[in-house]
Amino acid sequence: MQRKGKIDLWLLLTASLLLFLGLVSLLSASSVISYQDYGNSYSIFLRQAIFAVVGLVGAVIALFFPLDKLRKLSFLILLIAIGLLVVVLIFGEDTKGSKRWIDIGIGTFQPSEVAKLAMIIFLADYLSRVKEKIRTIKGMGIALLPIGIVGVLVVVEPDLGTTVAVMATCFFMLVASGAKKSHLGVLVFLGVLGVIGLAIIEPYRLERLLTFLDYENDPLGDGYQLIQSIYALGSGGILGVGIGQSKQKYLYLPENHTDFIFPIVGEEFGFLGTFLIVSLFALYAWRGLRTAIRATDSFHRYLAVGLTMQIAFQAFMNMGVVTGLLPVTGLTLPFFSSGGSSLVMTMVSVGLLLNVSRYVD
Amino acid sequence: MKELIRMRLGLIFFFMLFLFLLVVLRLLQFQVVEAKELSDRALSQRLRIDTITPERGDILDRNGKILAESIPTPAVYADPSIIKNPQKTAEALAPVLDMNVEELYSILTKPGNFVWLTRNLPIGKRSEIDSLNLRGIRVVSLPRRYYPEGTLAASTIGIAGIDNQGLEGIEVTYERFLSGEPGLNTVEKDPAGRAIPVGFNSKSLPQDGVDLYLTIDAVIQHIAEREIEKAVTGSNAKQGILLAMDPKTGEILALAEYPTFDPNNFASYPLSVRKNWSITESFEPGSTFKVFVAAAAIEEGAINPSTEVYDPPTYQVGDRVIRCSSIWGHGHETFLEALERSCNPVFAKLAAETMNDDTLYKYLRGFGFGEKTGVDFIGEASGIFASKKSLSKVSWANIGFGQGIAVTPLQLVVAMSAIANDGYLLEPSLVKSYKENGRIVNRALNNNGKQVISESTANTIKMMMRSVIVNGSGKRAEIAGFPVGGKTGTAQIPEVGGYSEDKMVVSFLGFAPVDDPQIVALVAIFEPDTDYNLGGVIAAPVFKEFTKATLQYTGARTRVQDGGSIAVPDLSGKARDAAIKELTKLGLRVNIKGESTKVSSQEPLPGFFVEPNTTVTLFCALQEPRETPRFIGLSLAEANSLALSFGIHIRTKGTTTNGIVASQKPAAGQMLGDGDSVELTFISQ
Repeated sequence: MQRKGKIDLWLLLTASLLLFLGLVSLLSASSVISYQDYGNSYSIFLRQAIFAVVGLVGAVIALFFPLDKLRKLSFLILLIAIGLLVVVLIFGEDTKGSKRWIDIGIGTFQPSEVAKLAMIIFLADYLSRVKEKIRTIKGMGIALLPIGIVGVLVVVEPDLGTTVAVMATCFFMLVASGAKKSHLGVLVFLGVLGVIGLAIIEPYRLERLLTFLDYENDPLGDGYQLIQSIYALGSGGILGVGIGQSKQKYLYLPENHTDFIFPIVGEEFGFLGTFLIVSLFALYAWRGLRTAIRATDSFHRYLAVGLTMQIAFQAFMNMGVVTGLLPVTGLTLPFFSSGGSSLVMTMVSVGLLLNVSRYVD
Repeated sequence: MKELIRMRLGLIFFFMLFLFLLVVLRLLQFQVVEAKELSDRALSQRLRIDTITPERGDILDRNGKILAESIPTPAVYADPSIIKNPQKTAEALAPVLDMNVEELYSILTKPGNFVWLTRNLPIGKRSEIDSLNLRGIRVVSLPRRYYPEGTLAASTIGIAGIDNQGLEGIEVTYERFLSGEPGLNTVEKDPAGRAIPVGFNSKSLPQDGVDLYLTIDAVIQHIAEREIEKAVTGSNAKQGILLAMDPKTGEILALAEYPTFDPNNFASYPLSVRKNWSITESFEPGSTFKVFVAAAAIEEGAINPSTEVYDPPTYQVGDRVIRCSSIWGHGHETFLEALERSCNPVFAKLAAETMNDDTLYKYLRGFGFGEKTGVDFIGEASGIFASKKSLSKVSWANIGFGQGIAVTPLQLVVAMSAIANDGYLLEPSLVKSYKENGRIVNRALNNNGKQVISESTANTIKMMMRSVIVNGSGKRAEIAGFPVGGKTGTAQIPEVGGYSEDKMVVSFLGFAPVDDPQIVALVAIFEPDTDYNLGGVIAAPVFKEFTKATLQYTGARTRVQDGGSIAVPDLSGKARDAAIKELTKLGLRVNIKGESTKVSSQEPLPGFFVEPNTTVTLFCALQEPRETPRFIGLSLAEANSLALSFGIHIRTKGTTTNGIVASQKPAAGQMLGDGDSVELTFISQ
């Protein structure tokens, strides 16, 4: 076991700032929808604040959890996660045609968020074991098996956004592990093929894909949300209209406290605000990957890559959707979007990354 | 392997950085480059502009009696989308709304969330509907135009539609004033229509419509409507018009038409009944038009009341034979008698031969025939008065007695008023004033008055028209106490290919009192069906009843003293002693002022009815002897005005008054004694 060092303060600072900005943004963005749905402008925010406290506890536990013990538990954790994914398919709450949440009495819980973390821990353990053999077909094949199982279970919920996010995180871990370029190329090809195949099976996905390319010609249909998103961003200008002053949040922009919170932030804080947030995510990616490079233990390294990329890439996907770079997929913005499971697991993974950052050169 | 992993991690970082850069570029595009346009578009989708309806102005009579107003009226609408049991709702509601259940049911089951059930619920039924407490049925208050006086002045006031917009009459003529300016409520709203608390909010209050005061007096209007209805029904006529004006101001005091309609229920009357015939339709006036031909001829000096004329049984112009009402004609008579007897050949000849076409055209145009009077009413007609080039001798002969020309009733009254108003033509008006910001402002009129004929000609015509009442066809128009001047008319109605044998328009155009006309009125009855379809028989009594009641109402100084019955004779110019003898014989007292042996004027004026023993004052001012002015070389009109300015009488000698004065007696420069007149002889040029 290596000598315990200090945690990466930059990483802590970045994550804390993102959490703070996320909560402040949600307080403003959710007020209208919260008042409409619960009769109280602060209901959604207060629930999020409670989850932030839970997440803080989770992060502290993750920070001090012995990493070698975690490694030993990695297979068990994955099994539990897969079990939960099966349970949600059977007992999950049917919301807008998809089963993603389990009601656990005090609130709902999203198994795919646990699965993301479980997948990362398991894959980090596997990659640190197989080492160079990842360049063989067998080594790669064994890695792909659990990834495939989790991917299929999430995609049938259906939750294509989360599936892509998990797949991408795993892909980055495979890239980091030194897998063969030809293998990686085939994986990218299969991934694209898979998305196209899913789009053909479910026509609504195809429509979303096409709308995204031509949203301006469909202002009242599928293009509506994206146009409202861009209106919100444009209304903010460089300096923003000021906190609490967003008008697009008055039900013009749907999902403005969850998947589409970023445009509201852009309206209230302007380009300066959105640029700061993108920069913080980039900083987080840099400090996280720096931790991976400097890690002395290969399990730590792959864990750091997965934990970092999970947050950074999902942030990119969310921001890409709301700025029209990517088709609309239901993905939250880490630290910002309302959602207990997402916030808690994000904070746990921050804690875990900070934990890893103590064991570097 | 270690190096490969480090390189791969660096690659991942730069790939991630590249992705974030894409996002930043996109943010720059929306938040910096296109920010202005996007925020404008966002704002415009959130802004809702609601109009706030202003209150429509009232229409009142000249004394402030309300003739049209907007009152809140309950209206009922349904939201079919939330009605759970349309059958039960229809059954409960049908008796209150006075509709049948099936019809109501089919309305309540229509798709959508808004449908009017009635926009005019009797006020008392509002509580009935409220107490039914039916889901999806709502009662609201809407302003609705209400005409409290019903048919009174309906064709003038016109109508306003269900959305309070003027459709006809004054309601549409003054739409801009009555409707006011709507207020605007500009609010940023969410997609459900709720105001955004932090959003833009600007409210401009509506400017309510202006209240209009008509020139019409509701009491006089009522008298007019009562009399015209009586006349039309009594003579089995198709239609009747009674139009009255104050000749000194051009204000229309009454405009009555029968049949009439109730504007509160206008949809059930045909357009022909709603139309304002007095202003928007024209007719061939017939004999009343002779007055204007006479005025032109006298003003031009072509003739005077004492000129001897010849009235043949028939008068031929081209292929047209014009007959006098008397089959033998009246033979030799004065021009005054020709008007009293309404001899068509005399006037036909006067217009076709004696008068210069251009001159007569100029005067008739001057009286306003052939063009709009400029009254404040949309849809005014100009009548038909062809351009002078197209008028043949035959046409002029016809125009001489009021055929072959079409005029609106209003044009006749306006032209008559010019004569009653010392020759000054005024623009008629229907709106007297309006209330703006609580202040009553008089409507600005361009009424400097254009002089059509001289005051002396106007006075001559007035006295001639007085004579028509005393000696001629208008006897039935005379009012005890208010000497009337007037002219009757009986005209055939033109049809395709000629004139109808039995369809007539009988009319009376007159004014009262003669010495100080306070009212000018036209009575026209279309297609009467009686034994005597004559203006003097049917229309003249209507004028009498109307004018009498009106002058009593307005408190005009009555010329009757204690209901007397003796008509004061015309004594001016007579010898003083003969005048005294005449008055004494009538049982009247005499008061002489002045020392001349001749009477120059009198009080009361001729034609006034007084009781026995009333004192008549004779003014016998002694005039100083003075030099006779020179008349030679002047036209009759010029000679008249010269004589007027010197206060001396002129007489004409010989067969013609055309051309210029050839000789005078006494000669210019000789002394002229009290009461002497100058005799003039004319030669044609």
